[in-house]
Amino acid sequence: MSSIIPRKMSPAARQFLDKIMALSDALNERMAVKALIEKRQAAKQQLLTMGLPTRKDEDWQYTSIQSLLQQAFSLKHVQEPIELTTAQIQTFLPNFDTIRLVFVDGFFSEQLSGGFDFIPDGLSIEMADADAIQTINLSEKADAFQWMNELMLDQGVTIELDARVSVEAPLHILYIQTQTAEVLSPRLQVRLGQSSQLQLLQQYVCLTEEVTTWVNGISHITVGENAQCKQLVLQQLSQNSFYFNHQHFVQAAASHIETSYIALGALLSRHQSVATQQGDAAETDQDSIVLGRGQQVMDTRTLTQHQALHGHSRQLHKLVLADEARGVFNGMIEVAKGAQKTDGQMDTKSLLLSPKAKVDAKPQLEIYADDVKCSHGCAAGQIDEDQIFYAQARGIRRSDAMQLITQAFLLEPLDKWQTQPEMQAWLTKLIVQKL
Amino acid sequence: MSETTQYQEINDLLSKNSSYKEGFFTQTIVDTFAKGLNEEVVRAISAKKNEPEWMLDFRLKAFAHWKTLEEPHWAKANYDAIDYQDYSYYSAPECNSCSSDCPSGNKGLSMEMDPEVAKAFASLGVPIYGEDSAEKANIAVDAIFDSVSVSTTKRAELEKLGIIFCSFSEAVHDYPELVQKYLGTVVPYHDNFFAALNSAVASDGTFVYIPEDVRSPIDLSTYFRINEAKTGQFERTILIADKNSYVSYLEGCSAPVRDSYQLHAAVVEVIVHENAEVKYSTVQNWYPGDEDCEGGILNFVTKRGICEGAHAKLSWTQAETGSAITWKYPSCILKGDYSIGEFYSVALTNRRQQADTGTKMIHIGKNTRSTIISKGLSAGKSDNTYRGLVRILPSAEGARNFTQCDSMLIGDQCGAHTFPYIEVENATAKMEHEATTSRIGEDQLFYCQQRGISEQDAISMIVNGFCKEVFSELPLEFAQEAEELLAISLEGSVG
Repeated sequence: MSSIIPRKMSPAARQFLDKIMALSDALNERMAVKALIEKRQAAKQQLLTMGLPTRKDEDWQYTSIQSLLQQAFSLKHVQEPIELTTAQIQTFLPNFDTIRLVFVDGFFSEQLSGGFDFIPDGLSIEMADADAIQTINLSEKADAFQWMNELMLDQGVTIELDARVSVEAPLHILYIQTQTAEVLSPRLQVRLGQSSQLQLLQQYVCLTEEVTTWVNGISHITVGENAQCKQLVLQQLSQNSFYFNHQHFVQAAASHIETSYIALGALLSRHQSVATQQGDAAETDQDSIVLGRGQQVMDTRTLTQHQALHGHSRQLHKLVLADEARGVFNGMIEVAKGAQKTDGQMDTKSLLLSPKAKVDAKPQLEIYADDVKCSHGCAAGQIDEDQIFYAQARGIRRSDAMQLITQAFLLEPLDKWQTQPEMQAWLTKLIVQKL
Repeated sequence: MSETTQYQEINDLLSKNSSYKEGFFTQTIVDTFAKGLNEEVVRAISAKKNEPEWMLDFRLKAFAHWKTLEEPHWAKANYDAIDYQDYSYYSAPECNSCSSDCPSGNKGLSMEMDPEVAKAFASLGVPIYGEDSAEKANIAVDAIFDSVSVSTTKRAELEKLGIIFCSFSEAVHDYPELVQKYLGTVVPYHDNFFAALNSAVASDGTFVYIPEDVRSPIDLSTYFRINEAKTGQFERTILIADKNSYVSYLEGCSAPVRDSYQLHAAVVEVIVHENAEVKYSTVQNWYPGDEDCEGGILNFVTKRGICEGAHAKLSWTQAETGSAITWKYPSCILKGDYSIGEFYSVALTNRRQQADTGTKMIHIGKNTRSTIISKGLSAGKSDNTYRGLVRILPSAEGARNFTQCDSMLIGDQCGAHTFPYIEVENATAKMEHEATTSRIGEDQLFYCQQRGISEQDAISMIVNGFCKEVFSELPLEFAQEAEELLAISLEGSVG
């Protein structure tokens, strides 16, 4: 280890890292599980070597983490979960049936959770503190935030679904943060057996707008042959919060995943979705809806790795940016040698509502096979004056017309929920409220 | 090594590289600096060219800065770290470099030219004798052989219009105020590693100045030729188009077949004033190396233009077929309101060539417009990358960009990559970007073959169709040359 030269860090970055390392040390004493301590210590070494990213790093060129570095966080400073009533969280809940798991400041709340009747045979949900979360191993390419998750690793959820089991109700995992300056490092591991089906809804909220939190999560989802997974990540943290999430799908042959990310909150957010198609004829759909206001920085990233024959992938990313918000998109489609007949498509569209809003996009293709169809499109602009005029000519007020056009623009990725009108209506309501 | 064995070797190399017809070598007496790079060499280059103090200062500043920099390796190309001490930084045919004897103004007259050098250009089809070529080509040529400009044609004719068309070294002597005013304004010496290197050891290049209200009646052109082994060519080209002027400038290049990598690090600066228009076309055909691209040219070029005034227009057109490694991003800084930047590119890679090329469009002025059309073709075991930046600054009210990058893969061993960077900081701007990847379909080939068109011709036809949008931007003879080049470079690449 001594041969590796630690990276130089700014004083702010160094201080921040020292503080969260102290949190990790305290956690080691509180949760003295040997395997976890080893993992956290390895993460500490790794972080000392790699340092925290700056805008000089290619992957962080458009995303500055300065606002995060100025904050100080604590880890589980409340020893007992805060008691909440169902009425208090009602506003966050959808009006349809789900299998609901609620975590308050990282503690599982049995009282708030529900819908256990919908759990079929063959679906197992484990919230083991130690064993389940140890099985996620970070890749060599893991970034500093994944290592920070490992550094403060304390809990996770493992979901296993047996072959040929189809779960009717969506599995809803709700994380509610009630304490200010708390860091949450959730881990989720999902394994879908052959030909199984699951809908997953991950929701991140703060109890009130006054709560400032930092969520730094990792999800690993393995999708078996011919299995289907429809996932939705709903990020509604308070406007001063921080959100980092890294999710990785590993797909077997003929599996199908659909993942949507809806970003409405957080001062600084970065959602990275990786899909690796290991088996032939896998399908991957990745969508996102990003609505930024104020000083928000919203970073969405996708990496689609086509490694087998006949892969198919589709992406549609919509960004609406108002005030001084900054949107960042980075998408990469990688087609490995031999991944013939791949069909990959990626679309990013941004609407800038104010003169100070910004968007930076990097849609990329890296292709090593010839018999493929790959394309990406990217567009940015403001609302077309002609469209507003068209609406105004029909007696619609200018402000209403703009609202209408923006809404129609932003909600396009929700079309895929048409078969579930309740879900679509709920999501539409959530987004329109924010507009 | 005796001369005969040397020729034998060259012939062997040539036969291995039958597709590279410019691969011959000119035997002439040359004045070449010993290998190595240090401050002495920089001073010696400057002394050789009888340069004034300010030019030497510029070189030394750049050199001091260069030493602090690290060789960039971010491009999608694998190459070993270059040993900069293993190159010679100055080489010139003897009888033209006797600058101590003949006054600098006399340079460029064809009568002093080494006949061997003249022969070389003749076989390349470059019309270096102004008189002969008058009826042949309506074009003025600056021919550059290794480190010096050997001939500049039609100068007198152009001078009548006030157009300055000469080699960079002459410009340093004859128009110092103009050179000083513009040198390093678009590409400063500290811009990047290779720009710094070029600023330090700049060999020769072309200097063009089009005065106000003048439309250049003929195309201006430079032909670059690297001849000596293990030398680097570091030309510096400055092109200035004053108000309401127009010029079309062409650039071509080639090098002999060698078994060791040769280095080419050029800098081009283009300044376009109000209402002026510059069309800059390049056909790059440096020696790509043998079957494994060993010994090809390493081409690291910084090309940048600024649209200084309102309604200025700068258009880059390039056909890139040569070089083992290409690292080139002709850029436009759109500073004047309503200025226009264009980039049309065809990049073809075969064997193990690696090209990382694209453009930067920096929108500063109001209602500025830019168009990027890039066509990448990869064959063999090559990698072809488009890397481009479109930046719309907050001041660029109503800016407009359209980008289209198409890649075509020929064979399953090659790679095609697209890395666009898009930064929009003004809401009134409109930008669109599209990229696609495809290949020559078997059904397309079958369709042609069924109609009696040979496979080779069919491929050539499909490829030319694919590149048509770009070739139509090239001046006529150049377009034809580019088409032929593509056909030759692609020969035998489809099995």
